[in-house]
Amino acid sequence: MASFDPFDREFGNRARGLRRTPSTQSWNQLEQRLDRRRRGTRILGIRPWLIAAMFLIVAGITIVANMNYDPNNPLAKRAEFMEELSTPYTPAEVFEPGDYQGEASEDESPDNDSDFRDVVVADKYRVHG
Amino acid sequence: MPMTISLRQTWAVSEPASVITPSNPAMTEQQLIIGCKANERRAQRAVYNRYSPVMLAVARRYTARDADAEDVLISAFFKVFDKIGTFTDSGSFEGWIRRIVVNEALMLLRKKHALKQASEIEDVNPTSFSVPAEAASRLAEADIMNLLDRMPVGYRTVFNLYVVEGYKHREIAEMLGISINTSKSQLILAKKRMREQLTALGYSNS
Repeated sequence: MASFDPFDREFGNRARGLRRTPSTQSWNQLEQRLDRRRRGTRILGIRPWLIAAMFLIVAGITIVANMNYDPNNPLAKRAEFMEELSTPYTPAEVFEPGDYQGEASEDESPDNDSDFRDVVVADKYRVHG
Repeated sequence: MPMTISLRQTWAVSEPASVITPSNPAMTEQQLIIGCKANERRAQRAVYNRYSPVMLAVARRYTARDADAEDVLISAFFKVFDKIGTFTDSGSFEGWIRRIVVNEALMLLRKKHALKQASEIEDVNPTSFSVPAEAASRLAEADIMNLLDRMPVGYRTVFNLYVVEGYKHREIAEMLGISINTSKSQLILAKKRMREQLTALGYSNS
């Protein structure tokens, strides 16, 4: 006790002995609060942990989806590379030199191009029709 | 499987210490605490029934209104059951509950800005405001509450904390956010008011 005054001591003893009976509604209100705590806090009727879990799932799906569409993503490239190894290489189009012979115009010929005018093409590289 | 049978038998006959049954209503304080820590409603009810009359009187000494005192009581007991895990057996359980009730009462007074008015007085001889101890010994319980109700909130709060709860001025100053001198001043003024009221009620003949 901080007080040594006889009045303080006597008054304190008597005041500490006071009792008051609470109303019956008090326990009911307390019980309601305890029940609410037991059910847990809710935001718009949904528990916060459920909101967080849903957010994480949506974020995960979005990230994975974007990763597959990203052409520069190394993980996506790796998957493509593995696929290429397992399948035989087939070029998208077949190049046949014969198909292009005669299509080049006179202007496009290297002999007429000023850049190649002084260049002598070796005989083995010449195309002989 | 003799071992399994033996274990099952032991489990079946042993009863957790915290179980409260209608045939065993008089639980020890330790059993009640264990029950509250296990979030058992019957243990919580038993703790409430045991301590709520004392704690309502504590709250009422600070709030001066019955409705406010009940609000404080409900908030305090909710906190008691919510924070029961932090209670250690080293101290008194009733004292722990009482501190929570006092803190809740002070929070209510702060919310109502009832603790803002605090004055400091100087050069006062406290003995000139002392009250004869015989007056307190003859006080009726209703008069104790009546005397406290008639005091301003600041006086009453410091008087309660110092005289009834036994806090020191340094602790009161920290709890209320005032200086130590202000706490002392409030106590002296509270005693002065108390002396005047006791004289008016015929308790003090000096």
